[in-house]
Parts: sequence; structure tokens; C-alpha cells
Amino acid sequence: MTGEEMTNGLMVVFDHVSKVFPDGTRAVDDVNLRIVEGEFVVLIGPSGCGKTTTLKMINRLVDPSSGTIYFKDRDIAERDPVELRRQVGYVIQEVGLLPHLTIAQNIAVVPRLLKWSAERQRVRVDELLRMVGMDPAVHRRRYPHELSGGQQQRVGVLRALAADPEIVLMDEPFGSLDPITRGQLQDEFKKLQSEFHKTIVFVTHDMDEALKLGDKIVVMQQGRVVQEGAPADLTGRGASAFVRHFIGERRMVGDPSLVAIGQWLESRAQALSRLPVIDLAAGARSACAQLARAGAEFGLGVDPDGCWVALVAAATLAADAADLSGAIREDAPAVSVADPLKAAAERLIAEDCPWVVVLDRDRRPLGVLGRSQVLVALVETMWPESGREEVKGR
Amino acid sequence: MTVWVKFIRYIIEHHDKVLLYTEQHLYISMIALALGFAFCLPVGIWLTRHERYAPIVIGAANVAETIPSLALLGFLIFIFGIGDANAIAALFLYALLPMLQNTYTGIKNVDRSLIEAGRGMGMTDWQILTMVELPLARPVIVAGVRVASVWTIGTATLAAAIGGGGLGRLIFAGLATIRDDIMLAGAVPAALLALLADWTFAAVERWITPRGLRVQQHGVGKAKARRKMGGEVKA
Ligand SMILES: Nc1ncnc2c1ncn2[C@@H]1O[C@H](COP(=O)(O)OP(=O)(O)OP(=O)(O)O)[C@@H](O)[C@H]1O
Ligand SMILES: [Mg+2]
Repeated sequence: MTGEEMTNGLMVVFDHVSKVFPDGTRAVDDVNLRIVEGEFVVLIGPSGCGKTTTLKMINRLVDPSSGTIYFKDRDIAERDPVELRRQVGYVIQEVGLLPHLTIAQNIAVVPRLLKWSAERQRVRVDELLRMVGMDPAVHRRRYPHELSGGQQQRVGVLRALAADPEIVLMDEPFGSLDPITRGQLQDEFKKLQSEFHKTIVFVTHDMDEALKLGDKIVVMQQGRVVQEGAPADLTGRGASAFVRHFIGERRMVGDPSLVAIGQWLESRAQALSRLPVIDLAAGARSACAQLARAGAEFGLGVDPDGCWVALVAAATLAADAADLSGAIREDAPAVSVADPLKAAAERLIAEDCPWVVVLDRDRRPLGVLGRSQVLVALVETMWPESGREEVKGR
Repeated sequence: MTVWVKFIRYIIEHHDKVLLYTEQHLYISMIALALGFAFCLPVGIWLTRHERYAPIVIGAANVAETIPSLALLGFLIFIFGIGDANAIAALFLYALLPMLQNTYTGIKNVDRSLIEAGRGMGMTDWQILTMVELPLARPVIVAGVRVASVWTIGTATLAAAIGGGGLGRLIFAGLATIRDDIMLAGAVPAALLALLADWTFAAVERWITPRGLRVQQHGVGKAKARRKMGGEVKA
């Protein structure tokens, strides 16, 4: 792309940008990006995929090995890095508040570098603190260590906004927080953004955060952009296997009322016990033979289309009876792969049944999940690290 | 008469002499310390920017430290001749190690992410040094000065051995004439001076520690500082 091709409204453009560190690490590999004015762009991907490096190239903390980056139509390689950085807000991954300065002084670092008057700095600091619900009278004279983690992160964000930059780079700004505070800050920040419409480049490896905040999501893997698009495009059919896996994997950690049974099964398909699928229309004799062949006590009864009807119990099935009705248990609990894990657990409790039948999206039965499997699923979802060990050990 | 009574009498009778030597002693030590600091601060900072020289330079200061004091003083006679200049030069060399080491490590130990934050906000190298690194390294640097000051004052007693001034004169005179009271008249003020320097620089260290760090180090101060701030708000 050449300078003339760029239209107005483009804030940052990456043109075939690569970064190879002196030790040979190819951190960013031929990245092309167009970031439009006012757009909220989220860079997402697994650890070490080059998100931070990509971000740092925008304010020249890292210079590309090849390719060109334009900031408002100008090649940033031609710009004085110090002057450029004062125009670009930056929230670093480690928060990085200066411990020897008060909150007010921390927020006012860039205004001070830009030689704003003391009065103008003061007014701006108070305005920003109020914006995030921190009383200036209480907080401006405090020191960073006297704030909670959430407040520190807020101040880190305010500091980046202080000199009213057109673009703000944010590297996992809510990274180290508990999920509740994190959610709160996301909401707050979304509200701020809806007022100011800044151009934001936001790094995270939390897909929920990306989907919640981003106008555009850029998925990176091993230094490359593997997909970019609006949140809806990404979660839909178009996604590559990697993206699907990444979304699935990330979304698994957390809330069993959000994680679908199918998502959990993707990684643990063997958890599903297979039972013979029995076409009820074929009659009792055939059902009996099928169950005997499989050595199963139960079969999954389906209609001629293969859709779930009811459970067939071998014990009550008389081989000579023409009628299946005595052996059919229509009250057997069934859930769809699209249902959340929580639903499976609730059905088990409500029906007081040792297992639950899992159906695919077309209501064809896939198999059954036992009580202990459902328990494993809940534990693994809520405590992804610890759960597996404990359950295995049993 | 015990030796202490004789010592006190000596001090009273010869207070002008004791005072003069104390003054000389302080002068020699502080000049050496000041020169040492003036050298160590920029060199220490320079070393943090050119790290491959750090082992060489700090190693050299370490070597100077290991030379026996009297041997060093004797050796320096060939360069500076006899007198205070020689003593100051030797003390200067002794004072280097703690100050150089502390300046260097104090700055090196500043959290990388804070420097990155400063750079990312558009600080120049000079601003990163003066707004981030030095304020945070200051307590460590002053601790180095404190150690150096105690060493210097102690070692300055040897200046008398090569024709310099200071309280060492009394000590050597006392040793030569086997007069404990004269020796003590030199040794006691020298020890007091060292203690005073230690105490003074400890106070300086506390005083220049940025408040945001000070409170962090002492858990008790935290609650106090909070209360104080709360009070200010209400007032
Ligand atoms: N200064 C450097 N020198 C050498 N290699 C580096 C340097 N900085 C980063 N890397 C490497 O480049 C790759 C990308 O790093 P980067 O920090 O951009 O990843 P990231 O996507 O931000 O990861 P995370 O989510 O863990 O923060 C990694 O393999 C990293 O080890
Ligand atoms: Mg990173």
C-alpha cells in the first residue's frame, strides 16, 4: 500500500510488518492491519503470539524489522519516538504506576511532559478521577500501594487518557484482576469509550473480554493474523479451526451456566458412554436382539428419522412381545449439546437418575453422561487446573 | 588516677588541639567522600547504560578495597608525596566501592516495567533517569554513602602515618609515648565522628526516601499515613 491509497479516517496501518528479535525469534510475521478512527480493535491470541510486540510497534517501543507502519498517513519511522509516544496513550501489561508519585502525579505524567500548567493538570486529574467514580479529594494524594488492584488498574487507564490522545494502546489492562472487578472495569470502560470514541488497540487473551469490548477482533497465532472481523463474524461459521478451538478453549474456563455441554465434550468425547440406538418402529424382537448383541441393559430409542423418543430397558423387554410399550421409559432425562453444563446437572438432580442422555442439535442421541461425568465436567469447568487431578485420583 | 580521668583531663587541657585535629579529620574524610560521590554517581549511572564495563570497573574498586590501608598510603607517597593529599587520595579509593556498587545496583534494580512505562509515555532518557530511576534508587545510593562515610572516617586515622592531619596524630603520639590518655583523646572522638556520620546519613536516607516507598516498607506507617490523609481531607 502506498501513502496515496490511504483514505481519511485511517488511524493506523500495518503494511507487511514483521519483527525478528536479535535472538532470531520471529515475534510478528507479515502483519497487515487497518485500524479506523474511533474503532475498538482487540488483539487476541495465546501467550507469546506477538500481541504485545505488535502493540509496542505502534508507539515505537519496538521498531519493525521490515514493513511500514503509518500513523495518520505518516510513516512512524520518520517520527520522533518521544513526540509520538506523548500523542499515544499507553497502558502497559504490568500497570506500572510510579510508586514514588501520588495518584494525581501519576495521572499527570504526560501532561507534565507536555508542560501543561499546574492548574490545567489539576483540573484534568480531578475530572478523570471523577469519571471512574474515585473521589479526587480522597484519592489524588494517595500513593499507588494505598489503592486496591482494581483502582490501580483504573489509574493506569486514566494515566493513558490524561493528555487526551487520539489513540490508546492497552496491553491486558484488566489482566490481573478477579473476574468480578474485571467485569466491572470492562463495563465502566465500555461506557467511557461510548462517550469519547477514541481509537483503541486492546490486547487480551480473554475471548469473553474481546467479544464484549471489541468492534473488531484480530486473532493472532505465532506472529500472524489468522483472522479478523467483527465479533459476530468470528463466532459464526467463518471461523478457522484454530479460532474455534481458541474460542472454545477460552470460553470453557469459568461458568457452567455458560459453557455448553458440547463444548466440554469436544475435548473429552470419551466421557460419553455409547448405547445402542434402537429404531422403535422395528419392533421388540429387533430391539431385543440389538441389546443382546451390544450386551447393553439399555438402548436409546429413536423414531425412523433417528430422533430421540425414549429409553428402552432390556430387563423389562419381553423378547416375544410385539409391543415395546412396557420397556419404554419416557421420563429419562435428555439434554442437548447446546444446553449448558448446568442444565445437565439440574436434570440429574430433578429426575434423580444416575445418567442423562445427550442429544445433538438435531435431537439425535449421542450417548449418555453418568452422574460422575457431569460432576467432572462441572469441576473441570469451574476449576480448570485442580479439578482434573482430584477426579482422576478417585 | 584511672586512664579515663587522665583522658578527660587531657581533653580539657588540650581541647584546642583535639578540636583542631577533629576538624582536620572531618575535612579529610568529607573531601574524600565528596570526591568519591562526585565520581561514583555519574560513573555508576554510566555503567547501568554500558553494562559490559560494570564487572571491570566495580571489580577494580573491589581490588582497591583489598589493598591494606597502610600499604596503599605508602604506595601513594610516590604519586602525591607526604601529607593530606595522599590521605585523601587513599580514602577516595576506599570510598568508591560501596558508593559505586550501590549506585549501579540501585538503578539496575528499578523495576523494568516502570522504565518501560516511562518510555511508553514519552519520557526522554534524561527524564527516565531523573523522574523514575534516581528517585527510586535514591535510598540505596544514600545507603552506599553511609557505609562509605563510616569506613572513611575510620581509615582517616591512618593519615597521620604519612604526615597528614587528623585525630590519628593523637593516636600515633599516644602509641609512641605509651600514653593511653593521648591515644584515647584521638580514638574516642574518631569513633564518635563515625557514629555521628552513620546516624546522620541514616536520617538522610529516611528523609529522601520517597513517601510512597517509605510507607510501603513500614507496615505500621501505612495505617498512620492513611489516618493522616483522611484527616487532611476532612480539614
Ligand atoms: N525483547 C525480546 N527479545 C527476544 N524475544 C522477544 C522479545 N520480546 C518478546 N519476545 C518474544 O516474542 C514473542 C512474542 O512476544 P509478545 O510479548 O509479543 O507476546 P504476547 O502475545 O504479548 O504474549 P503474552 O500474552 O504472554 O503477553 C515471544 O516468543 C517472546 O518470547
Ligand atoms: Mg503480552
